[in-house]
Amino acid sequence: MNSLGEILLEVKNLKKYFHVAAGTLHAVDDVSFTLEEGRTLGIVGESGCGKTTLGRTILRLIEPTSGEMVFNGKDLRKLNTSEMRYMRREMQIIFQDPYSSLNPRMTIAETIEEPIFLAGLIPDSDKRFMRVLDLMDTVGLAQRLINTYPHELDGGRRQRVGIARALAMNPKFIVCDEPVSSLDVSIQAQILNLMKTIQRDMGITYLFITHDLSVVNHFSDDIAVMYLGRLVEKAPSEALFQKPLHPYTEALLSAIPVARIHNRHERILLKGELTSPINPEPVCRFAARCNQCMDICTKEEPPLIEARPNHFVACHLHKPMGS
Amino acid sequence: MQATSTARPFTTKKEFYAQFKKKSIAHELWLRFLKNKTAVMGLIIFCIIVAVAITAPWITNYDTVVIKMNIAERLQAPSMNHWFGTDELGRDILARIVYGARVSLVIGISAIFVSLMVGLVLGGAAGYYGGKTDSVIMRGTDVFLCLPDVLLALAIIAAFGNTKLNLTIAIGLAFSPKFSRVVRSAVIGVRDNEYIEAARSIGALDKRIISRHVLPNCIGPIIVQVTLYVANAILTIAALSFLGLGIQPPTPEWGNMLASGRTYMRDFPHIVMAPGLAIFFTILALNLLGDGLRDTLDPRLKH
Amino acid sequence: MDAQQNTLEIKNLTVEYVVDDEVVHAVTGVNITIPAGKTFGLVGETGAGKTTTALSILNLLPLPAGRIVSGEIFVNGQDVFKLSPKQLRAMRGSQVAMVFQDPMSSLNPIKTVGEQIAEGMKIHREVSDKEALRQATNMLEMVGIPGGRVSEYPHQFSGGMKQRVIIAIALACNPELLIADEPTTALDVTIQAQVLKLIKELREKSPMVMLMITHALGIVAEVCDFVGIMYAGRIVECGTLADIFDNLRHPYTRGLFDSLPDIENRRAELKPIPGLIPDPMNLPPGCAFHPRCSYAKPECSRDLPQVRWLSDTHYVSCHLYNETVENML
Repeated sequence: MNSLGEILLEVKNLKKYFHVAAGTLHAVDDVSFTLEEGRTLGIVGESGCGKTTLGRTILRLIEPTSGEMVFNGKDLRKLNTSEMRYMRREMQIIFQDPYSSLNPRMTIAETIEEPIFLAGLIPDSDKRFMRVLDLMDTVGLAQRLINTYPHELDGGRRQRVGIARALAMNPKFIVCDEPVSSLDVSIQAQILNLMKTIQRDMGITYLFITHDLSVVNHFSDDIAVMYLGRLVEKAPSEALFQKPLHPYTEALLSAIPVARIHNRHERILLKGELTSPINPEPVCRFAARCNQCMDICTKEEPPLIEARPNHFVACHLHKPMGS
Repeated sequence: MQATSTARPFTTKKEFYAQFKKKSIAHELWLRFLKNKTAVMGLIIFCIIVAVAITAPWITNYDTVVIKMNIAERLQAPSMNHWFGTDELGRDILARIVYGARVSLVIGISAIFVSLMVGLVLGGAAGYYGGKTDSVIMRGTDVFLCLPDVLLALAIIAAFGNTKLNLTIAIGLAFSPKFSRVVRSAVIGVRDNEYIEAARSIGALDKRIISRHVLPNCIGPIIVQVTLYVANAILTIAALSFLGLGIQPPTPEWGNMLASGRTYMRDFPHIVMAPGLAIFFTILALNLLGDGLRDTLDPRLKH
Repeated sequence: MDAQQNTLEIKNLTVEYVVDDEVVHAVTGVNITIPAGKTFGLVGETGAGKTTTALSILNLLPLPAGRIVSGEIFVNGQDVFKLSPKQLRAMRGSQVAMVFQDPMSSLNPIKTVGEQIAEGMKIHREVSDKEALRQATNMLEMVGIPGGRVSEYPHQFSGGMKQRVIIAIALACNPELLIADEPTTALDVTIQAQVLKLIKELREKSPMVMLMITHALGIVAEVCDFVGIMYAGRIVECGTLADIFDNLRHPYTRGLFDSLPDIENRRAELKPIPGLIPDPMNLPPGCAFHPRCSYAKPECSRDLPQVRWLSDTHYVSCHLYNETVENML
């Protein structure tokens, strides 16, 4: 993996709250992390953890409530609308649903061309079209498909169109919001391999959002686990899988269905259901379901600490390194 | 970027497009529409009415036949000379029906066109921006929706005078809030799709998003409503003219023909049957057409 | 008389859909046998024909498009296609129950969960309202939901709990056959674990037979005894759990396993199956998998492979095994 080592994205205390009838919904609650250029950070969690909101808030497709996103040294929140639009060339997104992420009335060539046209990168119409063909080659779409409409293509091909669109402006950073979850297993593998190749060839940095742990392990350098809007653990993939520190991560890992009939492990089952993200108490949000819950967990919210080198966790069971 | 693995047979976009043609969505929809027999019937009837309206000056002479009184020939039953008979002033009813079609269609279609434009702007803004914009616009249109079309048109005509233009504007205003609602709900249905977010993420401005991404995907329900509202508009015109507030005699209009024929209805029913049937068939044709369009464009049946 | 009577027997089922004069070969020549107390996992990707197979059992194919061309289905020895509509209705919900994929749309939003569980009971058995409610409360407890929630409405439950309610409804009349179509796909993985545990417990307690439709091999490994791999409307390989997981023979089965990321070995490149799932209106000639198969031979594009029994329990449909039962992969 191309690791240039420079920090490309720094997220500091990012919060996104929604006002709903019942109160304030803490969708993303005080999330901080850094992401180096050329690497992939996987964000995992189940429904309601806020990972999708996080991805969109970082790109300012949703306005954050508070906190900072520093991309390539620039504070994104301080940019005005046209500066932000200019910045978007470097930060793109691949969506989850190949059925609703493409305009049904535009051919795939038109869809891929639009970002190039809007950015004014290639004024000449023919040259621009050649670039569209280049992009289609890169993602493995045949030339003869230029004038097809999304409904004529299957999910895997549509997703390739989405990837081509995201690559059109030569971005440095791509948020991948569950890009393969809607696809069949055999197609998922094709798309993941494609994305890895693109990263290798173009040095792209990915934020890979998913609920599928087996996929994220394969695809990410580091993994961050989210629960009810908070970041509960972050570590390099191998470290997370071999020695998870947070009880939720342990349960999550043990819940992955394994396609094997021998050496199966006992599942750690969680009690109960997700607590509400609306007006949460300042205590550990996982306490109600945790089988290792201590007294302090129901009284204080655990801060995110570095328990091992480069291994962060927000849990009262662990102490910061060196203490 | 990796070298292209496929050879490029052409160098210009035009050549590529000529080789790999676009499949016409319109053509496929047309074929689907044709399978619906009642809808096709509606279309045919409507086309006949339009054709008749357009060729009116060639079919008959306005001054001599349509408005010139001819007392000697009054109240004749349908015959070879006068296919629909003559009215109480001796005028050929068929000729009057033909010219009446012009009036109804021109005013009906222009009025709906006006209200469609207004509806696109208001409904589009309300649906796309939501929030306060939506509330303000919708409460405004709610006020107008409370008023019956006829009363609203009445008020405007009373205030500004009875001309064809005023009539068109009046009906246009009456239908604007209805269109706003239709457009708004269509926009809301489209707005939450991810491709709208995608457009924003590649730097498209609102104007482009609305014109290129939102509206083209809303056309379906809007087109259906256009046909149905044209039918309504024609009915409203007839109602107003019937009450003496729309098109004034001697200009023929199906509504005012009904009004003037009313007194003779019992002994000479043909005078009211003709305009009555004309209205009936026009409305029927438009409704069948509208329903057919709705079925054709139903997204659930797609692909 | 036959003590070993199989609860479900599908013989040579062929189903078509006719859409706008085009014929979709959804299911062709499918054979499935499930003895009492066992679970059969029907595995395949989109368009393989799994749901169509399941709907055929209860004659629930969407009309007018769906058509059963040939084949027989026996539930507990009864020929389903020979039943009168009244007998069929009596069977649905009482002998054979079905759990669908999406819990959101399977529940009636304006009836309490208790009413919905009791509904089946009242249709198929003579029970008073009070008795039905009591049994509904028991069912809820059995699926791990506090009995007091029997008078709550579906929207008051989360996704995982809704799915449990649906399982309770399905089990209310003690069916002999439960058909579960991707029952956990829409659920989070930790909730999925809870529901799978519930399914395993229920299996252990009763002789109920289950047909589990899924695309996830991990789930099959968890709950199934037998596995059938479907591709383009046919079963290409079928056997016990050990047959398929330890001794697979068909190239498509191999491809499915290879497509999965290996938790143990994260660096390994994923080996996807090249190409796309075939269009059911336009299946390739011969073996439908041949355009994507790295073991394809000339006869694969010409002739349909025959079913070859490799052991008492394991069969495969592939030209690689025309001469031999040795593993050719």
